Amino acid sequence: MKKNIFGIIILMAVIISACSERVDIDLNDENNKRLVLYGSITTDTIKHQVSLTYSADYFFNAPPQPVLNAQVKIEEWNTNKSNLLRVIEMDPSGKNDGIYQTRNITYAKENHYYKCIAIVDDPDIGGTYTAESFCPPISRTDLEIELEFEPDWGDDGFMIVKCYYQDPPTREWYLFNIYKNGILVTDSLSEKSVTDDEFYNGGYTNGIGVGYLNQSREDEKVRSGDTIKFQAASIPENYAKFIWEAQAEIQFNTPLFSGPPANISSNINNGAIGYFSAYSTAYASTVYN
Amino acid sequence: MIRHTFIILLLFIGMCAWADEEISRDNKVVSGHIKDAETGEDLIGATIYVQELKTGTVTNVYGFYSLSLPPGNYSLIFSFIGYNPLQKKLELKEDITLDIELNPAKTMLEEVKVIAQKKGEILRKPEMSVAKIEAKRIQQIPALFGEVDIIRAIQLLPGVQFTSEGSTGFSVRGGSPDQNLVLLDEATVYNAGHLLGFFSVFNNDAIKDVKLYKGDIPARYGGRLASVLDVRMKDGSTKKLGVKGGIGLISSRLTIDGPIIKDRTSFLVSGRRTYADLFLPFASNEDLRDNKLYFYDFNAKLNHNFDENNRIYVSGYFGRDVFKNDFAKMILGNQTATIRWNHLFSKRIFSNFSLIYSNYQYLLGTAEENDPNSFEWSSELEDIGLKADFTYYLDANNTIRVGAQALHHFFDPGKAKGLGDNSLLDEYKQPKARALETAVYLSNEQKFGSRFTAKYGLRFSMFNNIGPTTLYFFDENYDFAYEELKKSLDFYNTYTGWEPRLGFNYILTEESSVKASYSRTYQYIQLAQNSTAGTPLDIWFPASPNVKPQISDQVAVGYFRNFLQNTLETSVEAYYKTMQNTVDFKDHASLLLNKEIEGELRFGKSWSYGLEIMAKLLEMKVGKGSMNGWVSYTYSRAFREITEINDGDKYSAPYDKPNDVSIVWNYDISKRLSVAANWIYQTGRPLTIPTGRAVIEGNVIPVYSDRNDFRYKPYHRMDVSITLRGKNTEKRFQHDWNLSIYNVYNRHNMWSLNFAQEEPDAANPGTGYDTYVENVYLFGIIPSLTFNFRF
Repeated sequence: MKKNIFGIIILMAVIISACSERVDIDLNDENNKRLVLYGSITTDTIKHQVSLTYSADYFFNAPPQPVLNAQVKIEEWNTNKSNLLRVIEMDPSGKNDGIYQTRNITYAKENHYYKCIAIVDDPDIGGTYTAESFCPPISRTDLEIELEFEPDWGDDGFMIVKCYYQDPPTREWYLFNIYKNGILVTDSLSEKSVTDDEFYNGGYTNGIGVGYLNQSREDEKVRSGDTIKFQAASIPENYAKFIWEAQAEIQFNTPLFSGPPANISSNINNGAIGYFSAYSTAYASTVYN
Repeated sequence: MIRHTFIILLLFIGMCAWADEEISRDNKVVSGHIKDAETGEDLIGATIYVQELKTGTVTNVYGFYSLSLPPGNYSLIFSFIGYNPLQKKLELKEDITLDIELNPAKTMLEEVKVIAQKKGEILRKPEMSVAKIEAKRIQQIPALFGEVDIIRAIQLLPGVQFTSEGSTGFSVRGGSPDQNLVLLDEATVYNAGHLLGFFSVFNNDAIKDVKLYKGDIPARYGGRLASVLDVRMKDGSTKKLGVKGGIGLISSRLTIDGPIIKDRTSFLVSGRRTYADLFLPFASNEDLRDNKLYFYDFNAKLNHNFDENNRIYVSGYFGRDVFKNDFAKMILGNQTATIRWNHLFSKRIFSNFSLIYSNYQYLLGTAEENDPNSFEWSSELEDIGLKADFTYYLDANNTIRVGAQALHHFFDPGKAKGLGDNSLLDEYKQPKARALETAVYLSNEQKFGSRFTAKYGLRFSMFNNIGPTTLYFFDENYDFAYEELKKSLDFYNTYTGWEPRLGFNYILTEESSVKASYSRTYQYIQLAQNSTAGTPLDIWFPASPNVKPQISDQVAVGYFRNFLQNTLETSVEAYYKTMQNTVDFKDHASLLLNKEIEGELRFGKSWSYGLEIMAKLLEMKVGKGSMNGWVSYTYSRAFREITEINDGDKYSAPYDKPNDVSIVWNYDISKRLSVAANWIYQTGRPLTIPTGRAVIEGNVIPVYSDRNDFRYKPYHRMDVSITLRGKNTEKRFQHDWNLSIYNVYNRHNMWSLNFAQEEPDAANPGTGYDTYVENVYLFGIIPSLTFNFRF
């Protein structure tokens, strides 16, 4: 609901006739080389990925430099972290892009712990980096979606993905993703939708909007016959905070609503940036007619 | 506490009565009110000067004065800026009441002469770090959107800075906006802005007097660290019915005042309404056409003089901001009400009793009901207070003030609920909180000979948290640990503070003086505001077992020198201020609808220092006209140090702007024509900017180094205005046209600095990683035209 509230406030801000112009400024020339680790293991049976790149100066203005020749693995531990259950080895994707993926298709189990270990060979930032995540459970019963077209929003309207779901009585943090014909539409952090159930814990969602597809954008435009798939993921609280913080740092900054800029949190040791998370997923899909 | 206070006050009154009798055997009292001869309005700060003794006094905020003198023949001069002085000879054999009416100066020449006859009041007053602007001067300053604004005027004073471009929020000597106590007829105004702070709640037509204490805060005020902005409404004419108004491009206003019973009872009603949204149906953006966005406010006041010893004042303010569109609605505003009773126990003992009410509330939610997303959210803060203030004019050398205050705060920080059966949202309530803020004070202003004056006082304040409420406690990592329920009327937490106030004034020559002051102040409530300009949704929260009161110690010294027969006042003031228990917020703090908001706070210390130089031309004859204005320069710094922020290193406070220059100039060329201009220069405000980047899922995430370690270009701006009055200035119906141009050389001053990422080109993989910096500015050049009238 807080997201709704900020939406309302931002609508007010739109009415203020702010103008903008691009400017040049000199930034502090510091050593900005750090490890950026981002990845996850989920309850989906797939090859799971972890990305290792280097951070850079703010105006680096190129794709991130990949971290090559690292050794990456994920350990699976039981619920009370007393037994190491297995070690999942990861290999480079083969594209020299810093992506490491599990050697085989596999899946995470709810209520287990997962620890990602990356050994990086680098003269500046070399070392062993670890990050740990609990895999919270999700209820998969009764998850349904439907689509509703809202013609008055934006130039060509929005397609609203409405969700019907019985939220369990425990406290959850959810990550929502939308796929169109099998392709992830919400493919950047800024497009992810993350919420908690603090304001509707244990309630029936009854068609609440969980995805908003802008019909002016080709990759989001929904045509008759398109299949829309909705992924609801139950994620750890700190992963939800990580995404919220990242979104706050990406979005438009105003003296009215924005707090002081700050570095986003991380669950990786040794000063690395990013997040490794385990989470469980549930899906629903519909075909638009 | 209340019982003890009551006993102390009774003892004080008893002692005063005894002393009164003793002293009256030797001294006699001349006392009364000084008023405007045309309207009957009491004049605040008018001067009474006893020529023979070279001493005098000034009227208080109710226009009352009292002078205790040995029996004899005296020549008294009564004067006030912009009025013809009046000399009265009297033979003082017994206590007498002498009410005075001063005539406003009719011509500019007359006015200049009046100013020149002033005897350098600023040199003699044992107060410093105080700024007073007359409503007439505020009227002359070029206005944004043609809306004359007292807060924009005080932002031009040394040591006072706006929080962001266009905002009526202000920072005093590096302090936060919530460290300013804003009073309207003694009632606290918790959100002094309309429309996201772009207009202030004060309607200049209804305002009589504005005084800002930047330091050296008198003992009768407390509760905030940085300043007190004391705004007094007009009483309304006791002589004749008057109508005053203005029609502008985006707002209009109307004020009616007059007598109900001539010379005894008067009223004033004043209202404003913006109508910028009337033009929205013509907006090019269709989404904006059905929007509603406006504010309105009303001021009202009623006064009655029962007899020369008893007067009553009832005043109030009501304002609302309204925003509605197809998706959302938002309504918010302040209300205040004050009932005051002035009573003279004797010619020497002036008292005022006030009953005060203040409320700030907002409601927002979705426009649609019964939708899964439908919700409504409201928040409220309410004060009910009682004050008793006594002034004892012991003799010509001592003015003793004593008083007691009790203020009950009620905080309902937020409750949200779904609307309709289909709404998904549960009810969510932050715990309500109550607190009692009480204080007693005693002070004396004492003259030692003709050159040295001391002002000393002590304030004792107490703050009690009162149940029922739910308290949340946190561990050493600020994570929630446990909660505790407090029962109704459980005074479960108490803070107390001794607040000494000292001030000295030594007159060096007829044209110069030096002053020094020290003050300690406590602040028990604060605003959860994490952005520089803030929003109307920011909530106030009290000191509690988790939040200690903020404490400030400030010392200041100043040198004051007048030139040109006291028409040019110059001053240099230096100050140093330290603050304990400074509140800041953790990174990415969540301050709205958060029951555990106290876990988001971080505490430390802060300090500020500065030098303020000002030259103020009260009035100078130039050709057939006259000019006035001021030039000020401030050098100031403000820092914070909080263990959990910026790795524990000190960092610049959000309003740390070292260099600040203001030039304010008004030239009345003739009876009909005036021109005015002001120019402002400020060092750019401190910003936290990225030094590095991390790319995650296609998004460039900034990586920051130190907080507030960067400054963008300086802020500067010039505004001009021209006022053309009607041909016949002697007619009852008076009117003028005012053309104001804000930001006349169209500088794109930074409102915010955005670090943004280029959109990727789907056809070219590897694109979308370029970043750029965007200066977001609010106002280019903005002309506005206003028609003002009065009759």
